[in-house]
Amino acid sequence: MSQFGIACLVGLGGAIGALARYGASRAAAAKKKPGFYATLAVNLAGSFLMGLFIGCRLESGHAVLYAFAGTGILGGLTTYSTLNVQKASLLRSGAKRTLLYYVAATYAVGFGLTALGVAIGDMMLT
Amino acid sequence: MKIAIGIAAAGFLGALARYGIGSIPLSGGADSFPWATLFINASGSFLLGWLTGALIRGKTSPAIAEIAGTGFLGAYTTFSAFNGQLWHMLGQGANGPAAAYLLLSGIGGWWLASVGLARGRGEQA
Repeated sequence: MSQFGIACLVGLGGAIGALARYGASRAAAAKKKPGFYATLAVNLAGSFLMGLFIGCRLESGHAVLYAFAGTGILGGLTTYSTLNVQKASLLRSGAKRTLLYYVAATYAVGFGLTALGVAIGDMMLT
Repeated sequence: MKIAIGIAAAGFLGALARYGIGSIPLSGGADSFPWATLFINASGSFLLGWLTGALIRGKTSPAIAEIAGTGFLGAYTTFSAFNGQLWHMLGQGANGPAAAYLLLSGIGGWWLASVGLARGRGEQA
């Protein structure tokens, strides 16, 4: 596929991922939950799926599919900017305990889910 | 509905911008440091902080903040690739660079978001 075609797939995936993240934030707002619940959910889901893609060797084996689903959808679904702004806002508002739980859940569980995804992807491949 | 279309379009552009800046393999090379993703996540954190502050101050509309923030900057920055890169770095035994990457993204990006937020709110940072 041409470089232009791949770039279009990345953008399309990004649009899908961003819409899904927006949907999650709307769902959290509808349930009167703070915004970071939605960010945590999409970041954890995206980290697990990224691990799965790594375990399945998607990037080296199916570069076009990875560009769409990995770089596009998962990149669009997950976010670091919202995470960092929420950390800054929680600190400003003095919600230190919530901040601690949020940071721990995001980083520890997120990386753990990536590792778990890799292990499951490895098993699926063999 | 209009917001959803705006978010989809902005998400398209955000992912494309990230791809344009950092289109190198996730695993990098043996000695590579994910500078591109670090730059993307740090710059996106500052800009979203600034935008959030501007929204609080009433300098921008909620619709614009949603499209530019949730749509563009949300899709521009990434947490999934960050974790994928960390996994690869640790797998290659690059523990020091992995720790540096974690701290620069998580603490440095946090600080930039705070500075952006203060600036957006019109405070002296």
